Amino acid sequence: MHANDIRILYGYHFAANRKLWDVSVVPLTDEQFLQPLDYSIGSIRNQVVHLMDIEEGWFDGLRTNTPSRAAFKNPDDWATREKIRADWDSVETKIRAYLDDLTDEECNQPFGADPDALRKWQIMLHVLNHATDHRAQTLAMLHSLAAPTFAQDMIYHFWGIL
Amino acid sequence: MLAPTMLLTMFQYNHDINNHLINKAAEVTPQQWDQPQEADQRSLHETLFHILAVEEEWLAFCQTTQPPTWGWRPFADYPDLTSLSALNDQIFTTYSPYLAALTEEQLLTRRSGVFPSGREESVVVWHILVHMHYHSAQHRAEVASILTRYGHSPWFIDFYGFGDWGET
Repeated sequence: MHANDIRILYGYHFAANRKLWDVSVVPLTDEQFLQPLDYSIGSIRNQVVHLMDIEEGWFDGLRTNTPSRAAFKNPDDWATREKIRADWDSVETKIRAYLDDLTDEECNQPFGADPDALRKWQIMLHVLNHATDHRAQTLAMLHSLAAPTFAQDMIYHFWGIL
Repeated sequence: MLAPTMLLTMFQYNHDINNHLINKAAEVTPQQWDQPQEADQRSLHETLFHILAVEEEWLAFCQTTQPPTWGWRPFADYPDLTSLSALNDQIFTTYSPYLAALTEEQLLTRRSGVFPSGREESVVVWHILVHMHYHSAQHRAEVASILTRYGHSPWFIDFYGFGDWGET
């Protein structure tokens, strides 16, 4: 499998996450950021904590080759955007380090001890798909709050205009 | 260049999860089917059509080099779930052999053209195919949200857990 292609796709992933934060999350009032929303996992705060949590959980598993993971983190543990940003930066740094060392061979290894388990590339594509889903949910919620949004299309990343 | 196996797995997932959402949409009322969504967002009907119409134009761009116009398929020709389900199957049937036969060299070739926005762009084939997948994922999230609001949640639409992952 092609580790460099996974790195290219994660280049988009990090850019889209960053744009979501800079364009749409930063301008929100605290009230908007924490406003309960009646779909999926709730507030915009909950959405971004969930994005960070899922990325960290799957990549911690990939790094140690252990599929089991802890329960979802409680978003109430992130009282401020500053703390979320700092922790999310840390998660991104760890993922980038893992991807920097990723080889084609490792992409195709089973995730865990079971030789019939999903391959690691499948997990990494899942994380990308999951993030696209939750960014889409978040962008729709932001639109309803009259907050600034953007088109997260991957093609715009390839064109250099995301 | 993303491996052909990965792209085929994504394409199979794409078709199956589209079908899942189309089937779930059968549970809404005729009024809900075409009801405009808040803040000027597309209706359930329009969003499902948009997913499929855009998929087809990106795939055709890869295969025939004809740039998208985002208008090949008239929306009026797809008034119901039956017609959308048929279109989803048609896209899958038409382009599966094309994708299955793509070589790594072909996936690295480029497609160029002027887009409806006026932009002239050149794009690598595998980038187009992956973009198409995530464009659909974006709009499937909207479909899932609309269905849930109407009391018909499709539950998980994740790539993880998707039935047959294909060969690795």
